[in-house]
Parts: sequence; C-alpha cells; structure tokens
Amino acid sequence: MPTGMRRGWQATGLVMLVICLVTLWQATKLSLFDRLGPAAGFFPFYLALIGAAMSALILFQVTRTADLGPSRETIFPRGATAWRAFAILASAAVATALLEWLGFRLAVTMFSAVLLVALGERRWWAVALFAVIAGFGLFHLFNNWLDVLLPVGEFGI
Amino acid sequence: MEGLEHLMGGFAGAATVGNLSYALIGCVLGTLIGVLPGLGPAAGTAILIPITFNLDATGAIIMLCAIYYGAMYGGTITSVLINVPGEAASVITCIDGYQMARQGRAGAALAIAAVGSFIGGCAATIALAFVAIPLAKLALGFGPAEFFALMVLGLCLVIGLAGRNLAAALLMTVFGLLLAMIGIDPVRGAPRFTGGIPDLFDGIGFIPVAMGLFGIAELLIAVEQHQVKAIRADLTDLWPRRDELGPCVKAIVRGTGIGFVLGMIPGVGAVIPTFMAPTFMAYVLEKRLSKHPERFGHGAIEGVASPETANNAYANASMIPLFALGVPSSATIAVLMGAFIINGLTPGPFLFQERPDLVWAVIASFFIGNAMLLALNLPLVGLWARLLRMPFRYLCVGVLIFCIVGSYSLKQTVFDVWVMLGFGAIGYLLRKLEFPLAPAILAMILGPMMEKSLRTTLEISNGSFAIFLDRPVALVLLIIPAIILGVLLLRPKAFEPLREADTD
Repeated sequence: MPTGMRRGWQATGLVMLVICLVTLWQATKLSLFDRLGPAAGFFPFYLALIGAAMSALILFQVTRTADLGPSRETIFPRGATAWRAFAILASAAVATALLEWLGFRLAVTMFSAVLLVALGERRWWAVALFAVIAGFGLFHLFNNWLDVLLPVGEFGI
Repeated sequence: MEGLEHLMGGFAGAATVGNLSYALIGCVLGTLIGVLPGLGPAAGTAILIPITFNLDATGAIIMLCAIYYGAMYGGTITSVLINVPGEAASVITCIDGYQMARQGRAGAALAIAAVGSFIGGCAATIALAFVAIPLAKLALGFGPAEFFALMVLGLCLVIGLAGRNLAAALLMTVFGLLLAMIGIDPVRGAPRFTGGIPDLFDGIGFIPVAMGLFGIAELLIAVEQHQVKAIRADLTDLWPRRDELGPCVKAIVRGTGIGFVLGMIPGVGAVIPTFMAPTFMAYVLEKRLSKHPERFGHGAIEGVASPETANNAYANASMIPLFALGVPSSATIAVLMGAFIINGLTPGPFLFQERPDLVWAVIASFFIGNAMLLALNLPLVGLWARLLRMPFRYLCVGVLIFCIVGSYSLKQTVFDVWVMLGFGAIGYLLRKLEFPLAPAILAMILGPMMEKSLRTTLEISNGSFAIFLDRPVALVLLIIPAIILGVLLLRPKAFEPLREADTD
C-alpha cells in the first residue's frame, strides 16, 4: 500500500474508532433497555460496537500491510489543482457564513464573481454578467416562480 | 393483468399538461446532468430536488424520476463524443461508442443507444407493472421482523458488492446508520446525540448529506480531471447499416434481460463495481456470442446497443424494490426515496394502497419520459455536443449555488448548508481514499426504519431475538445476508483497500 493511502486509511480508521467509542459511551448513558423494551441507546450501541470493531480491524490490517513508499501519483492534488479545490470550498464557506447577513442575492453574486476569477475567468464582463444572473436571477426564479424562500439580508436585499 | 389495468389508469394521471411538462423538464435537465462530465445521476437528482419543492407530490416524483433516467441517457453522449462517461454506468459505452465516433459514425452510435434505451426502459417498465403488485402484496403480509430482515438483506447486498474491502464497506454502513441516529428517537421521542444543538433535534438532513457526499465531492474530483476536447462528430447519418440491424436487435433483447434482472436485485446498483455493472455484463455477453468478437473495441455497434439498453432497463427495473418493498437499490434511488419522504410519502407496499394514483402515474410517466428522451435526444444531440464545450468553471459555480439553495431551502436554515459543505469535504476525502460512499447513503435513509422495525419486533417479543426464529420469512431473509457476509469473510484478500470507487 502506498504511504499516502496507508496514512489516509489509518487516519480514517482512527477517527471512526473515536466516533464509535464516543457513541458507545453516549448510548450507555441513554440506557439500552427500559420497561417497554429496547430503549433509545439500544440500536446505536450495537451499531457503534460493530463500527468500533471494523475501525480496529482496518487499523490493524493497514498497519500490518507493507508500506510500498510514496506512489508516483499523489492521492491529493497539489499546486494549481489543489488551489482550485481550496477556492471552491473556501468561497462556499464564506458565502454560507454571509448568507443570512448579506442575503442570498448579494452573497451569491459576490461568491460567483470571486470563484469565477479564482477558477481562471479573466473577462470582467463575463464575470459580472454571470454573477448578477446567478445572484439576482436565481433569487427571482426560486423566490417568485418556484416559491422556494431564500434569505433576505440586513440591507433588505 | 391487474397491473396493466392500473397502468392504463396511471396514463390518465401522467398525461396531464402539468405532469407532461414536469416529465419533459426532468428529461431535459437529466440529460444535461448526464452530459456534463463530473456530475452523476445521484448528485444531479439531489441538486435538483429544490426545484420540485412547490410541486404536488406526483409532479415532483415524475420530474425527479425523469431527471434520473435522463441522466442515464445523457451519460452516453459524452461517452461517444469525448470518450468520457458522463456517469459511471456509461463507462463501457466509451469502448465502441468513441471508436464509432472516430470513424464518423457518432450519429449511428447515439441513435442506437437512444433506441436501445427506449426499448429497454419500456420493457422494464411493463415488467415493473406486472411484478410490482404481486411483490407488494407479498410484502403487505410482512411484520416489523420481516421488514427489518429485508433492510438488512438490502444493506448486506450493498456491502457485498461495494468492493474488495469488507471492513471499509461495513464501516461506511455503520457511519450512515449512526448519522441517522442523531435527533429525536423515533420510538420514545427523546433527543439523542444532539450535543444540545437545537438544529440537530430534527436530525441531520438526508438531502444536505447526499448533496455533499455526491454533489460537492464529485465537483472537487472533477476539478482534478483534465478537460477533453470533443471530436467534431458527424451527426447526420443516424441509422445503422442494414447488416447491423440483426445483431442490434439481438443485443437490445439481451441487454433488456440483463438490465431488468440486475435492476430487480436490491444493492446491485448501489456501487456498480465494473465487473457487476449491467452494462459490463451485457457487453461481455455480446462479445462472447458474436461471430466476430475481434470487432469489439474497434467500433462494433452491438457494443453500444447492448450496454446502453441494459443501462436503461436496469434504471427502470431498479424502481421495483423501491416501489414494492421500500428498499432503495442504489444511491440515486436512495435520493429519490428521500424525495418521496420530503413529500410525505413512504415508498413500499403500503404506498400502492394509500396513493395508487401517484404510484401508477409515476410508473406510466416512465413510458412517457422514455418516449420523450427518444424524441428529444436525436434532434438535440448537436446541442448537447455544444454544451460539452462550456467552461468547467461556470458549471462548478452553478452546481455550488444549486447545492446551497437546495440545502438551505429544505428547512430554511444555514446549518444545513454547513452540513452539506462538511459532508462535501468528508465525501471528497473518502472518495480519494477509495472508501465506498453508497453504503453510507443507503444506510442513512434506511436507518430510522431499521431501528423502528427492530425495536418494535423486540418489544413484541419482550426483548428476545428468538422471535426471528419463529418468523420463517424473516429468518430466510437474515440467513441470506449471513451467508453473503460469511462468503466474503472467507475470501482471500477480503480486507484489501478498495480498487473500485463508487460513483453512482
């Protein structure tokens, strides 16, 4: 198993093991049985038990597997591709954080413009046109035509 | 014959102006989703759920189903024109479809794919009408023990087919089931695993998770892929040569059979490892039966007709476990099941009794949708080909906005948008590490029903698991997954990392 993949599997196994152990602890606090039968903790308890066993098995198997060293192809992207993936997640996170304060129209217009530029669009008019259609056009489509309510911000937009 | 009568009634419900429009819009949007590389049917269906919020339940389900089979057809176009499958099921079509396009026969490849898809889809829908009622009647006799066992079977089939690493597939299933446990306990009504966060009292929304795991994760994966230039396809000559007609008819018949049989089995479509995909099986069979197998890989038209027919027959037949038993057979069907639940409907045998108008209108709409796809896609194939030249950045921004709208508008809360983004990042990491995601999403939608069934069963038996021994159907349904898991455990290399990342 290549080193990157091996570390990834170990990390996933470890995180899942922790999640399952916490669930086990929480499930016992909820009680497994009451006078009516199985209680709120019953099903999650057994699920977490299976999950913990599988996580431990993955950790054990992966740790035992021979480390083949770094593979020629990296698992996660680097350079410009990594930047694009980061830009997508970061800009979406910022837009989400501002969604209720700025409102859908402004937040999405700004998000579209920033992300388009980050992804390599250099024609300012194309950026502006797309961003306005995305922010204001989609708001109109969903809010007025499809009756899907979208947030209006502090500025009434 | 009872099924046929209901089906005729269903046409009356489906053939209203509104429902015809929804089917048409769904077919167009679905084809668009299928055409755009990087977006699969699961992601596409999840992303487009918000546009159905204001529709009546029948219209919403008709549109979402049309998006699903539209996407299945749309994937063919990119397979033929740019050698990139628009969705996982079209991988096999690339082999001969792209070769045909290079020989100037893209029109014939796309036409036979459309005709095969139409025939396969319609045949599977007729069979659905006949099979669904007896199956639903059988399931009406099921108690909570049988339903629990049925869901265990469905999940185990998914786990068994998820790839080579059994532990990873099981872990992903547990992950999905644990996510479903967050919120109010479905039996006693007490909150659990909420950490005191009010937004979690309603549980983690299935749609934001599906959008994240499929929509956002697929988008991030697509960012890494290189853009491929579409070949200038000759789309004027749409018909196969006379000597190709005979083999094509046989390929379509065989493809229909394979797609239908595999579509009926819950779990087969959940992960589509290449060796189990209906498209791959249909292709291999065609090559084996051919008098000139050497033509395959060099533009054999049967190599397009058979897998494409199998693909659409499978897509329509995979509705049978959903409608008759309430068990989704793939990630996309799980998303559709989520749409049913949003509309206040629970797929399964009781739906045939409670809302026969809806069920049969939706089934009838499959015919209408398939006919629309056939009528639309041949004349519009040039338009779809032009769409392939759209810069990826616009698609990316558009998809993200739809994901934000979809996850926000369900409960009007930004918390769900964070959930969607979080699961997008988790899905991306898991996809890169080749963990299967389909078991997680299926488990998440089945989780509450599984728990309720199991706990009701155990309440009846005063906590004794021996009740499963007294219920023969439940026992058989539990023995099958036990055998599957046993066989998988005994397999050599049962715990190797996966090689087949799921994309459905």
